[in-house]
Amino acid sequence: MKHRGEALVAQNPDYSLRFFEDKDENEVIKLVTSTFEAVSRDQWLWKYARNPHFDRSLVFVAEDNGRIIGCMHYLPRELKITGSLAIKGALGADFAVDPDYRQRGVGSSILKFSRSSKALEKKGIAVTYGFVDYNRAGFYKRNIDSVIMPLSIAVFRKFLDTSPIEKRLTSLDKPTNEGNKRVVGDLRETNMSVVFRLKGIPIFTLNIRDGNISVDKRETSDPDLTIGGDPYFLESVFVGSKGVLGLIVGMLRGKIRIRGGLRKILDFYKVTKTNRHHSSRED
Amino acid sequence: MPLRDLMSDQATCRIRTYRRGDEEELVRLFNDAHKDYAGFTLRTPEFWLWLCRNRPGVHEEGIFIAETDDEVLGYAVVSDFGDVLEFCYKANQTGEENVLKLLEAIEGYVKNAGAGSITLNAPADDPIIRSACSRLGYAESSPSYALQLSVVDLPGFIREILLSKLKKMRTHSGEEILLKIGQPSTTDYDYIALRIRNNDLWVERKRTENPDFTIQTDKGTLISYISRNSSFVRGILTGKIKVSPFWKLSRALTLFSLLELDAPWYFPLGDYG
Repeated sequence: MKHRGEALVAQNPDYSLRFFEDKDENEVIKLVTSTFEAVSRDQWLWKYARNPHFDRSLVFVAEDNGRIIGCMHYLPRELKITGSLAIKGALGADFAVDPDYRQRGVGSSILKFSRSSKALEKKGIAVTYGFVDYNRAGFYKRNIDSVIMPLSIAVFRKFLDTSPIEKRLTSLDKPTNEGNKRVVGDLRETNMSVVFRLKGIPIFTLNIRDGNISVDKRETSDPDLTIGGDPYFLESVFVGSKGVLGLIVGMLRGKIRIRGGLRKILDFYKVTKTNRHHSSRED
Repeated sequence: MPLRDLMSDQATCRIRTYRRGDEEELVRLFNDAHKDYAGFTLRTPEFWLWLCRNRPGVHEEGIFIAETDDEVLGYAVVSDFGDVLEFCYKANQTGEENVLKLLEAIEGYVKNAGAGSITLNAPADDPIIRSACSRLGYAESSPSYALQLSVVDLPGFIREILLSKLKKMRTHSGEEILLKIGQPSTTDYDYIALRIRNNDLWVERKRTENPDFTIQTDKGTLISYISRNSSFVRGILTGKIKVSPFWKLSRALTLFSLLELDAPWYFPLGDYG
């Protein structure tokens, strides 16, 4: 590890790790916005450049021959850790690695550098925290001894129209990838109309006819199946990991209500399940 | 006035949108409404203005305030994408009616903004928001994200927690406790000494020679215990926590119970990102 000007630099055989400098701004924005679909340039500028608590010395970058290949931002915040106590914390955000450099330990190196540089300690920060997918928790545990905090949060959602669901369902009959090609094949053998009466979502009908899927924003009078109940439970059965047993448990517990023939239920389950297996492989 | 009419009057709150200068009152309401929770950033007016009003996708027309002539009873901040970034209200006998009015205002705004859905989160033990959301046809789910916490400065972290419980620490007055932190396979330990004298507490990264008792564990186990992910007894039974001399076990248990982060963890969607 050596000092270059004011910036502490850690050398790696393939790239170097250092603190963010003003000249990095455009490259970091480019990396972050290309990694996270939901983050725009304006959002980066709001979150960091226009943030009254932003501290540039708490942004870490990995660089290879002048190219920014990874970055991690920390935002100082007063984090409440008990009912009466708030301590100096730092929220980790927009942790990105260039796709060309993934699976090479760049992310781990940046995280470890954020600790070995002592930059957080020098600012009096006692803890870092961040919002992560559950399946990424092990990465943070291995690198920075993090724990997953038990949360006391309920999420409530209401769809005002069926457009987002329609977009998702109607893309199933487009043979854009291997998973969908199989679905399209199965769809050719399936003809049915399914009415969805789900909590938080306006009623709609899914029509599968001759290999095509369409969504009707009304309730069909004589559907093959009517599916009602908790949309999140339903999603966990049809596109998640719960499976047939989950479907039966869901019906017994009243989480899902299905009216229609058993054969049709199994046909519908088969189509959506085929998609799940292939989607996972695509990931 | 009959009680029924009185309650009806109290329920009559009006909804208006944000006006410059409201932030002081909103921040006070937010911090008070969440005083029993942890896991979020404590609000100040400066922080709130940056986090909510100046956030891309948020307009003053999307910040709704429920109030009577006398007081602010609740507010909500919703983005053009349908995310409710903050939602809080004063819990009183009219709480649910105010919550319903705020939710209806949010729905009208989100429809006009063209977003297809509304997402709101709330403390899991809040019966008023749950009931209001159910009445308005919201579906409930668990969060799809987790909050990971990592301790940078372990002595500082321990000091802050114990200082906030100094009154309860008096039972340890006069004691000197040594925390020996490291993996079981290592011989390279971090030492943290704790000393309590009357109303003062010292927590230092150093090794003391004659502590009253020593607790040996690794950082991960200690943080898991503090964060209530595992229990002290389990740590003892699996050998991940060792106390010497062993007969000081109950003293170690008392100390560990003080370190536990006991408030429920909740953060509004605005804190995310």
